[in-house]
Amino acid sequence: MIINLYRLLLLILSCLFIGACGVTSRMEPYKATNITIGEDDSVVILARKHHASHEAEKSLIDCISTSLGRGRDSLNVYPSSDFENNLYPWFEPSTAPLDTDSLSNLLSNIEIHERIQKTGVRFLIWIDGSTNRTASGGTISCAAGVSGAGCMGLAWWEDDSRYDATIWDLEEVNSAGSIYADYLGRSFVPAIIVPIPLIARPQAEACRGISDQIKIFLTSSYEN
Amino acid sequence: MFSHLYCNRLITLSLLLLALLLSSCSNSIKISGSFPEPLVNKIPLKIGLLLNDSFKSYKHEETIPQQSSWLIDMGDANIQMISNILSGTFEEIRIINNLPVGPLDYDLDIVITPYLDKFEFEVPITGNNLYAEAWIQYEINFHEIGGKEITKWLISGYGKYEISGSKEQSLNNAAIVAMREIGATFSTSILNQPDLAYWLENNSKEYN
Repeated sequence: MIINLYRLLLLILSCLFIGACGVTSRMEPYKATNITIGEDDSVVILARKHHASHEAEKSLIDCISTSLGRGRDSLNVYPSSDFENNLYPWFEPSTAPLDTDSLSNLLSNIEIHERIQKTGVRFLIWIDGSTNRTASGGTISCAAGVSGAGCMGLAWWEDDSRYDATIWDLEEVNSAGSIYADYLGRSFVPAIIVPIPLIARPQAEACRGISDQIKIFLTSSYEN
Repeated sequence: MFSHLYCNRLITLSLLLLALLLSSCSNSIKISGSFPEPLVNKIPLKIGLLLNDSFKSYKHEETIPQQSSWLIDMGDANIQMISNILSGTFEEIRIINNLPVGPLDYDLDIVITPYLDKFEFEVPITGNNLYAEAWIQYEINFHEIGGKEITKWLISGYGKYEISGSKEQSLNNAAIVAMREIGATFSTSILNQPDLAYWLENNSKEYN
């Protein structure tokens, strides 16, 4: 009877932990034009790097680029580093256009315009933001003796992935819209003899969410 | 016999452990990356490029207390960066060995001599900062072919890179970002340097 109660308690605790560990998300897409991507058009994903404090992680840029290029509704994705090298020095942290007026000035240079046309890139997608640890707490104590070893306690933390994807149309030289994504992930490591990591990955979820939204954004013809 | 063998093995094992510990505390990297020629309107000048030994074989050595020691070789990256940047910015680049220049190089307009003035870096091992950072400052000297100084230009660049794999690779990438920044500043702002612009207006037939 006591053993059954103990098992039930463990089950309830496990469910609570698994339920508590997870990712909550908020996604706000805004489409400003009715333009969709053509069959021969490509997209390029670039990280905004002009902030001293934060910049979108390269792992996220690679993840979004890979996700966009995969699946039934895949898009042609031009590699970020090739784009930056082809257009050097105009997309470095200090020289990259910050708004569409600067982009318009940049594209008024015929050589730069032709070089971009050669790449086939129609949509330039800027990713701005980062993943930060917003809270953490708890402790786990471990001990080892002659008869064995074990841990006891609970550790937890929260990671917040906030990103803005701004989509520029290089043909129309305007901003086609933006996607705001906020993913909050709570992770737990309960330890009852053995630590059980229940890790949430908000950045991976943000990558999936932003990629799906970009695909919808560039393939569906609708206006807000 | 047994104790002698045992003692030898113990010494070998200790030496191996010591070597392992020492190697884990020292980091050595050779900076390498991509430095494309800048896509800018070429300035119609013939440039002599004088590369001194300290620039060609620049090495930064630093020991961080209670952490590790670093040996960062930037020589090849320096040469590649400055050669590509100048080739994209000016109509003609020629490597020269002396200043004042010899008779064969009298057709040059300006001689450029770059120096790596300062290099600072940080590779955090604890805390929430997950970026390797590098800050580099170059001193670019502009001389007439006879040796008279026109001006010197201090250009600095900052780069950071996420530490996802090895610390060495992240620092290498951060240094490349900083060097590319310097190249971008040079190629896009060179004609805004007042002393150089004044000299060009008054001395260069090609430029005028």
